Amino acid sequence: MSIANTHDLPADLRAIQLETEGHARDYGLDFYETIFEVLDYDEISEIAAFGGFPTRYPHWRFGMEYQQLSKGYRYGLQKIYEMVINNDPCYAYLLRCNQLVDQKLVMAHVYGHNDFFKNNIWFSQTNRKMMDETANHGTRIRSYMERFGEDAVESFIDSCLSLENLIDVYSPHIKRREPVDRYDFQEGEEADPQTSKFQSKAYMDGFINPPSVLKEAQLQQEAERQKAKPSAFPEQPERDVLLFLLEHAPLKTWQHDVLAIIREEAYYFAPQGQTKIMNEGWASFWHSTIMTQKILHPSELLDYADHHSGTMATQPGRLNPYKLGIELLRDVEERWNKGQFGPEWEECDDYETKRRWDTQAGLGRKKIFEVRCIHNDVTFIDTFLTQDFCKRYQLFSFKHNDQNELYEIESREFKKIKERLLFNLTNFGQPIIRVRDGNYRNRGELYLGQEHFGVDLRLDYAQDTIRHLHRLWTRPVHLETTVDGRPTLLSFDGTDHSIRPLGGVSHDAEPKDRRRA
Amino acid sequence: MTLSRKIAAALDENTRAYNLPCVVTLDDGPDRINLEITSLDSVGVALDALEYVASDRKEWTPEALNAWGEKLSKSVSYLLEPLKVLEVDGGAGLAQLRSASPTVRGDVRGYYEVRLDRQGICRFERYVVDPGGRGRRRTPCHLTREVVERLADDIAAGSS
Amino acid sequence: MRKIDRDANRFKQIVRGKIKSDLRKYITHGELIGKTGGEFVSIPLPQIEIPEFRYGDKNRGGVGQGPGDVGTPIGRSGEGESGPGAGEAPGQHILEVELTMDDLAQILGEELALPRIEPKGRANIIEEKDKYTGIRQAGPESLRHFKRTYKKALKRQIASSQYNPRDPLVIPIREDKLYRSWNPITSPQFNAVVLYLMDVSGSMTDDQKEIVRTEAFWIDTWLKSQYDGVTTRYIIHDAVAREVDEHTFYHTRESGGTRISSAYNLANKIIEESHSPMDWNIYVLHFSDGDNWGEDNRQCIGLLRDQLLPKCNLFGYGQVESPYGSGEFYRELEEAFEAVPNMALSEIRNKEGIYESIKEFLGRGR
Repeated sequence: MSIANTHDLPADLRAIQLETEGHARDYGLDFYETIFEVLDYDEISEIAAFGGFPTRYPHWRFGMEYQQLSKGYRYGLQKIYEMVINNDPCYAYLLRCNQLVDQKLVMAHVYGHNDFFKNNIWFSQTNRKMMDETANHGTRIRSYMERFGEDAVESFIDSCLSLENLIDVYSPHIKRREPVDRYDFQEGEEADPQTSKFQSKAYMDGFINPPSVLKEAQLQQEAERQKAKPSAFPEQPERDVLLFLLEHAPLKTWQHDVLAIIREEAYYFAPQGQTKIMNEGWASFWHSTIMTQKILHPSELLDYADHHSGTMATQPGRLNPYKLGIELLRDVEERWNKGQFGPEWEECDDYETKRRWDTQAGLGRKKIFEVRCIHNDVTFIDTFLTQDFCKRYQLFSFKHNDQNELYEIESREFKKIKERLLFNLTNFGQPIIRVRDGNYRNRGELYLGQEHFGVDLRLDYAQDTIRHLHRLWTRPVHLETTVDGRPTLLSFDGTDHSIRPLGGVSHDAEPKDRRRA
Repeated sequence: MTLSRKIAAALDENTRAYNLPCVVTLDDGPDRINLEITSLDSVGVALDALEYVASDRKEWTPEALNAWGEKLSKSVSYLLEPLKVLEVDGGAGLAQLRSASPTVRGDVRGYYEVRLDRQGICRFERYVVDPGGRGRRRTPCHLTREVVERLADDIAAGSS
Repeated sequence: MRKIDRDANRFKQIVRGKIKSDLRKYITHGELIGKTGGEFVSIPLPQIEIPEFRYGDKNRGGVGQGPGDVGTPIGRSGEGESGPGAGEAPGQHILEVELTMDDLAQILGEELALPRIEPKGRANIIEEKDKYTGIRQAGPESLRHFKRTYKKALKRQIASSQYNPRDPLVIPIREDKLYRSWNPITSPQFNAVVLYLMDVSGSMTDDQKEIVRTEAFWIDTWLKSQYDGVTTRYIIHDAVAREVDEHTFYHTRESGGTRISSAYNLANKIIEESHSPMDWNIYVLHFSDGDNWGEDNRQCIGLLRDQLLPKCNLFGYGQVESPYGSGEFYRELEEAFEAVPNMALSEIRNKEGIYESIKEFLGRGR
């Protein structure tokens, strides 16, 4: 057991850290060395804007995020209380103006997060030295900006970010190519270095035409493609679209590296998105447990979940996902303490019997530790959400009414509630898209397909995203989707978008030179 | 009532005898009506203007003009557009009604304008606004015979 | 310079570029701009976000908590997330960006190529309500002149890098406190007064009033960026004119005929009483549908020529289009005044015409 690293904390906070960490360990929490730092609100906002990594690569989106945070704060909509990084050592930032009571609570909360990061299996493949890694990424990208121009690199990053969610979060580990020697720029593949300065450029202005050198690389790739290549690849539809692009798109070396960086970071952050409810529930569970151990007035116990909601002020009728996490965990603990599980329990349908069921099993604590280890939000909800829970918390499902453009309460049926919840959690509530063919029509066109679950894509966003895909692929790009129940093909050839209904429901690549009039 | 019958009679009588355009004048007791006609047949008339002179008082106050106008806007509901009182100009001794909103035909907007002045004169006209053109110009009102008669009655009724 | 500043500035640049290229749209649809009444405006920028594949609203849903029957509405589309735990995948939301009025004015000036105003040199300006005529450093508390004091304290803070724009707490300290005294100060300040005149007779519709409101907003924005202080006064008229407050200005309809001269007379009176051209840069903007009482036109022209134009930096007449197409006042002015440098005439057909109209008025650069 290492002594808590108290670095440059003021004495009072140092004492709190030691005490809180002691309690956390006593409860069985297991975490990396934790380093706290105390910051002002705008300093924390700054780091929050960077996703927790102050050494992140430069990009205007962080500026945007920062502006939104500042604005939210100004209007009392958002308040960041702390920030925790999944890293070894674990960095956590405290807000300077918090009262001591709050700091205690925050620290306990942090240790909860820390334990979760370290022990939840969905984080097992994440890079625990991400702090260093992002610094490295930042350096690389900055050097590209210096060589090739800020505008060019930033605009390329725009395209990569647009495709950031096209990764395979359920793969057991990140597939990696041979690591590219980052300083090994091959001659002939570089563009003329544009040493353009800080130019005023509207975001929508210009999707930069690739300079002539890119054409060269493209022709090279094309020649290679004509040689022994299977007429259709990938063999299986590929979820990791970014990997596919890395392997097959005609990218310059620096572009390849930038895309690889974006992909790495996307994979790093992915588990955090997949376990949001659980992670917050877990951390809240522990801060409230640890705090009740003290002789604190119960009234001083802030309902942390409410305050810490990263989303906007809770609207009436909306669900606070973090509250859901802690309540469900408590429910699991109670049930396993009372033996309210298993086939007998499931089959019992007498309300009173169920209510009084108590075998004194006492397995609750152990169970939730197990839960925090192996589940993500989807499996967590799927396994542990019960009808009873839904009733107790007055949960309901809502859906969109296309007529009046409002969201309305749909049902209080358990099945429906669970269905809606799971849908929104699966893949972060984002569409699932795969590469089906990298040599569509035998002309090297890119063909993707959406796995449709009854909800259509936003078409305008889809078209804009396809444009970005094209920017990397340089040849026509197609996306098969469903619109209003009809199979539809969205295409972009570099100049024009087209939306065509598909006749038969064909998921195979079209035969060679069939082209609709 | 009598006014409309007089109009009916006058128009029937000399339908073909009029040299158009012309002004047909009719008296109803002390009151008078002038129809500035540009075309006429058994179905209807095209009027440049309809003018009615009420002579039951020397001077109409703005309030009285307003009352007259309000009555008109309520009773005259059978034209292309309903009328509404737009302004009562005390200084000028004038009340003005116009169509509540102009009718658009093609790219031309048309509306009625009714002016009631302190001498008890009611003048009824129609205007159009060309697109892009500056300002407006008067245009003939096309009314059926029955409508002309009814309109005259209503104007007269409103003035009492 | 902090690390975030690079990205924040970059973002700001992009925002400005976007607003500039869409400025016409924002000018035409003034309702888009969220005015908080303070120094910020908020502008929706739907296209600044990076696009990605995401779901639309149809068949979308989620889970909520609380009472309510089936069918009870709980929110509109576009209002935040449509599902829990969906922090990474929000429903559509329009990005609202904040700008200061100054930023906005700058963009306006650049995009419309507005000449910067060179105010006429003025001597010291004191609020007309003041009884005292100067500032000195000692004096009773009750006479503290807050504004000056604050400004001085602010300067001091900035000079000693204590000023935090995110938390602007400025505490005037003893030596900052300035007091009014009997002696006039000698530092010049450039002040402007804008008089808005509007015809509110029966023929002006609500839509037209909205157009006036939008124009006034942009004109204010620009003038406030060019002057240290801008005072605004509002006059409405039909056959008679009266001075009112801003709210009344936009929410009154009269029905008593139209005499534009009444407004010009009142404006002139106000100027003579309170805003001497020696001390003030004067802007008069009149909006009407041009349906003036015919015989009044001559009086108006006389008032303009002899009284108002000699006093004003700018007299602007904006004629909104009447559905009745009857505005001849514009033509009267056109004929009577040829190429007068401080008079700007503009016909505003509809919302789309606001852009050109503002350009016309502010392009005079005085």
